[in-house]
Amino acid sequence: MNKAILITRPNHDLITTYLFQWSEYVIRQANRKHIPVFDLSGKKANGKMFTSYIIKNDPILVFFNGHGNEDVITGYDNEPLVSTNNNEKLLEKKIVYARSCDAAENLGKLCIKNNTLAFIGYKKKYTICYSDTSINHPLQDEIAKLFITPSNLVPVSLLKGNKAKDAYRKSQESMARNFSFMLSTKATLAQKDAAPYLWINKKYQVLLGDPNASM
Amino acid sequence: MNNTNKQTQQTKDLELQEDIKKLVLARIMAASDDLRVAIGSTEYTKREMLENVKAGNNVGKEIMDIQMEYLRDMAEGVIYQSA
Repeated sequence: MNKAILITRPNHDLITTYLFQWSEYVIRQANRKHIPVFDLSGKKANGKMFTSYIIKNDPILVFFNGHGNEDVITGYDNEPLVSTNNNEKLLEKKIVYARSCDAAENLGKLCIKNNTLAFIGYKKKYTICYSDTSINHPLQDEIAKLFITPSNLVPVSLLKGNKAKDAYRKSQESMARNFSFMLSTKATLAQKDAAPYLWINKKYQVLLGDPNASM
Repeated sequence: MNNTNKQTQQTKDLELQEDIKKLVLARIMAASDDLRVAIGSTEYTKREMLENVKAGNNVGKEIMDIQMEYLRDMAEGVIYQSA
């Protein structure tokens, strides 16, 4: 097992493009810590490349960005990367953060049964709100920022050497802070209107497996 | 439960569903035009959210579920314990 991070970040639609761009922060953090990054970006986020990189490089941290459901996490053009009762054993002895919908429900649980160290993900749909006027500049989107920054904290904390439970806690605390801001008078109307969706992300983000797992 | 009671309950449930729909529609209508929401793999403008809730399709039901869960958690104080 290598102290390295593998990131999948397709960019075939608006949602994945946002996650693609915001994942740069995580890559920069890894670079600062001199931790090797295997970046399956854009079309490289496909099943063949994913399997090959996992087997060849054996990174301890796997960070998925993409669509999914209870049984699958997908890459570019929604091609399955990992799915239940198929190839979840690829994630054995790894720490996984799945920024995708529902995957903690079945896939995450099955991964833990198959010796994944820890799995952080969502038991319901992962939701992001955007500013309609910022969709061509995702990194300047002051609504999306409130959703994506707390979720970036999971891999960023892990890269800093924190335990899975601390990465999860920091992400939860960051969502709580942003949520409080969204209910305050300092928030714009659109930020206030986005509050229910951040609440659902916070409520259904879960940590499975060993809370003391670390890189 | 006899048939009359069942029918009364079903009518009440339908009325409740209609009230919930009206509440969620009012919340979305009052929302900023700048807001777009991505739920799962699809993203929606305010107008599209209104259309889906009005149509009562799966997306509309999902939006209603999110809004109602939020309001219930707020009413029960869960949000304030957590925030």
